[in-house]
Amino acid sequence: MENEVPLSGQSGWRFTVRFLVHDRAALAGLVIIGLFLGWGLVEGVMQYIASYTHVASWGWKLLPSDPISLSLKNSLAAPTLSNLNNLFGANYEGQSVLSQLLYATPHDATASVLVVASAIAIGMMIGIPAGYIGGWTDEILMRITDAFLAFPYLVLAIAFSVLLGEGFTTVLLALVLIWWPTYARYFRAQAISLKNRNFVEASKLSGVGPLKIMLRHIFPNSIDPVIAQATLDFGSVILLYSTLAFLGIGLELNYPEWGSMSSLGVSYFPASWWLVLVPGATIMVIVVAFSLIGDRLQDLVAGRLTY
Amino acid sequence: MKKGLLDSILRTKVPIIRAVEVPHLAIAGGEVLALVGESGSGKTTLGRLLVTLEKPTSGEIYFHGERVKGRRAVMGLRRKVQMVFQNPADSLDPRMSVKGIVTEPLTTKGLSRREREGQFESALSLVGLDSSTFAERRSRDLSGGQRQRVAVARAIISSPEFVVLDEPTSALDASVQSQVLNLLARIHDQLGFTYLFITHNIAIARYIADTVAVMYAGQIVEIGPAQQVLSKPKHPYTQALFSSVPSLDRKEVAPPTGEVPSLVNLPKGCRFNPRCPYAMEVCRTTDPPFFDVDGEQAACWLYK
Repeated sequence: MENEVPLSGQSGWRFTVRFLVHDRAALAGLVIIGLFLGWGLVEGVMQYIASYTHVASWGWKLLPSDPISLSLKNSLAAPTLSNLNNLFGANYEGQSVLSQLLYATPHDATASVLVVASAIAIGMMIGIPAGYIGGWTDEILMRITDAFLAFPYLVLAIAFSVLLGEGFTTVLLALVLIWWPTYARYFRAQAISLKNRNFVEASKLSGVGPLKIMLRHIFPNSIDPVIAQATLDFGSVILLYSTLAFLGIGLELNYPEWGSMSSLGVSYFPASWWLVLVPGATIMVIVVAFSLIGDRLQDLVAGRLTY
Repeated sequence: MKKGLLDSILRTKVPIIRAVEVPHLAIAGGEVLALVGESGSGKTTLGRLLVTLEKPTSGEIYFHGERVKGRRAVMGLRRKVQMVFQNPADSLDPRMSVKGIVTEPLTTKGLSRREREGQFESALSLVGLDSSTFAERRSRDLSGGQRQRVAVARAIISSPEFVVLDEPTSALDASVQSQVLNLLARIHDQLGFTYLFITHNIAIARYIADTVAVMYAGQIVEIGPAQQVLSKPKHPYTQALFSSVPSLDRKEVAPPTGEVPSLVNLPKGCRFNPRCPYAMEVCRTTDPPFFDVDGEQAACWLYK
């Protein structure tokens, strides 16, 4: 047996995880995202129980207070460390900002995960065949993609939301429609660079059909850069979702949501500054946390860093 | 070159590259044909044409006397041919295990799991790798030589009739080169596949080939029995090419002067005439056909 040293090319999940944990910024990002998604899941389950049992109070069993009913005594209470309920202050209706933030988490978590996952799925189904088959297939699929990309995405989202009517599902749909073209472009570029690699040609010569080649070789080899992009997009989806809510598109206004919370708070700025700044800062922290992971993952994919 | 949408709208003239123009090439069953020539002479393109990885602009390919045309014939041929690529790092899917890679050609044949396992083990032992050690490894865990062995195992597992080996040893260390070469020769003796062995190394051609074909600027200029071509080359290009191989009994190394012509703008007449020391008037006007000389064929007016 020859005793050459194998080329060092570290990758794989274990390596990725070890890398992220050893990098402080990425670790901070991981912890924040873990808390965000974890809490989103717990609170989401609570709200599901509430709607299932028709006992609304289940929805705020774990929160310091009821985020929806009025408690005018508490109106515009300033942030204080002595009272957990008013840690981030209260709004004009006396609802605790902390409770509202926590209550709205499942929606933002669901939005980011669902939108990015669906956008990747659609992008894959459009982009990989376009890149791999090429020719007219590519031409047609990509011109459709371009049409979506050509619109400013905020305008596109507003148009869709107006067209499809109000509601959480509508906003998600609108966001997916905005996001998939980017992924289609990613997958297409990957498919084009992969289709002439020798290992793809080797399986062509083995009589493997195009569909199987796309599933078995093109997709698994193109997913790395897409995942790195996706981590960045989780943050952007939350941002745009909040922007839409801020503009009053999407959920009904009395339902707490990070974007609409700061939107409503604008009228009380700067006297009651916490109403705008706390939800805004929360959005920022989550977006930055996703970006920290995403940046590191992209460095890793591009081979700029080795640990 | 493919025309883009913009090109067809603007009616841009896309230059035609004549990568390979081969009037006729036949490979007998069980034979090892070595295709030698400089880089860029079209050796690889010709090999890829024969296994349907490239479409010929014109001309026909026959396999066992049957023309390969249309999707069905191409898919049918693909089950009977295989190719081993030059760069073993690129020819193995980085995401797949050795077992997945090697047994992929069997997935289209409707074999049971057990039959696949059995064939995997015998293919790996043929290339000198231990199947239980290597089954679950990925390409990145292998050395260059091991990768090329895996690529060879994939090529032979489905018992193809025709294998194109595209410089299978040139990306490997010298010590590993000879191992892989011996392995390929042994497999040929045992299983009797037909090989098209693409190489720029004349020593390798001498070692493995029954027949040698020499390519220059996309054309075959000389073809004949290996001994004949390698010991007494007829075409002036072959002579010049072989004299550039360093040797102990010859002091002088005389590489051919000049450069390989651009494939977009080929010289008129014989493609070698601008560099040929024997160039005559006819060479500058007419492309030479093949002439029989001493049991081989050379495309050169000297042998008219």
